[in-house]
Amino acid sequence: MKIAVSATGKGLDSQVERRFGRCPNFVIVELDDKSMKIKGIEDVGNTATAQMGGAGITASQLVADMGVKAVITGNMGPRAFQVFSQLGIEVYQGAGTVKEVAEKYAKGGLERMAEATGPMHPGMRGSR
Amino acid sequence: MKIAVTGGKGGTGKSTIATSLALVFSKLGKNTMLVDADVDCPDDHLMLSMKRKKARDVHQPVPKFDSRKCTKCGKCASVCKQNCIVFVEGKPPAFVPDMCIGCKACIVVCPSGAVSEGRKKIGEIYTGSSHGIELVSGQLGIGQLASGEMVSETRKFSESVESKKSIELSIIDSAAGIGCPVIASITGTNFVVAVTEPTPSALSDLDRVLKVVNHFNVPYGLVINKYDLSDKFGKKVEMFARKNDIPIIGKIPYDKKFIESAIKMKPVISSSEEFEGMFSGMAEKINNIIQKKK
Repeated sequence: MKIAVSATGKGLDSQVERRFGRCPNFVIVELDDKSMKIKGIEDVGNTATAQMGGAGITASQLVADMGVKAVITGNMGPRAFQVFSQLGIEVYQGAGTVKEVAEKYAKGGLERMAEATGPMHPGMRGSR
Repeated sequence: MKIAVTGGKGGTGKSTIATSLALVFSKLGKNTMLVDADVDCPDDHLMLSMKRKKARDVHQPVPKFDSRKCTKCGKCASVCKQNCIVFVEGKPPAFVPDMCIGCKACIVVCPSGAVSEGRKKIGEIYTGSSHGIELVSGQLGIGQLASGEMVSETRKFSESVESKKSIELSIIDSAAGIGCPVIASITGTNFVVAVTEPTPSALSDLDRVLKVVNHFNVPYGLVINKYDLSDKFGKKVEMFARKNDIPIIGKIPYDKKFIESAIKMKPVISSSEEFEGMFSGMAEKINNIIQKKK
């Protein structure tokens, strides 16, 4: 099975990006269905980073098209969250490296998001 | 009879002039209504110390998806210009209503009848009355995109009030700008009052908004507000009017009484007889122009 992690860069050692819709990169991690060990990864550049509005929707389309079962991110706005809940894709909150959160997820150690954790356009505010 | 007040640039005094004109027309014996069509920031009621009452909600069409009828073809998502339908192979589409502007393309394109018309609230219409005039005031919901539709709905509602209360004259106070909400304010009126001030940006914006008014073939006249702020530029505005054969309905001096009245939430015409006379003069000029065009 595949999961998507919003990341600051490429590969398993990059950090989980707090923003979902405007993260630079998604790391798609493939977990073995039986052992839940990391089998492989694929980096998917986020095409929505510079979008005026609706970045969360574009990013969620991108991620959903990869056929993932779950998404791990720092925060998620209401629009992207609506898309994933309607598509039946689970959203988890995580921090650390991509590898750490993927392994945590495999062991059932991540907290599932019950609702959007941020307002719209959090990635567009001037100061962070 | 319907008169729209517009101007292009913000802050030229559209609301002050719309409110004052409504009051003097009423004093001249016409049963008058003020329609606040600045649906992003309606505040004509604040100029009249008026308590508005909510009359009704305004809705906009949005699609409703029936997942049992859906064949998962994805056509709805492919036609959505707002990008608010997300389709993934093998699943019914996901829909984000707040981005939807109600174009209904998804309903039309669905081959299996799985998309029907639902609705979402985009704003509210309020009514009130004071100083002898009726007010209809439209207010767009925060974050909603359909300001033009909101103005149209406000005007439709105001027309139902017109017939009920036998209103003879409606003054429509438009938003700044030249886009959808302004177009929806100008269309179907008998006269447009363009309010400007002697600044380069106001003149540039006036030129643009008058191009829109010309398109709708509505007669118009100019009010130069705060005309004595710049003698030189004031003359430039007058030259612009002469060159384009635009009647000047009124010239209003810059006066702190306008600001004081706004803060006190009292109509400026009640602060001095001079102002009342000035606005009455404008009302008569507008009347004359409309009569001549008939």
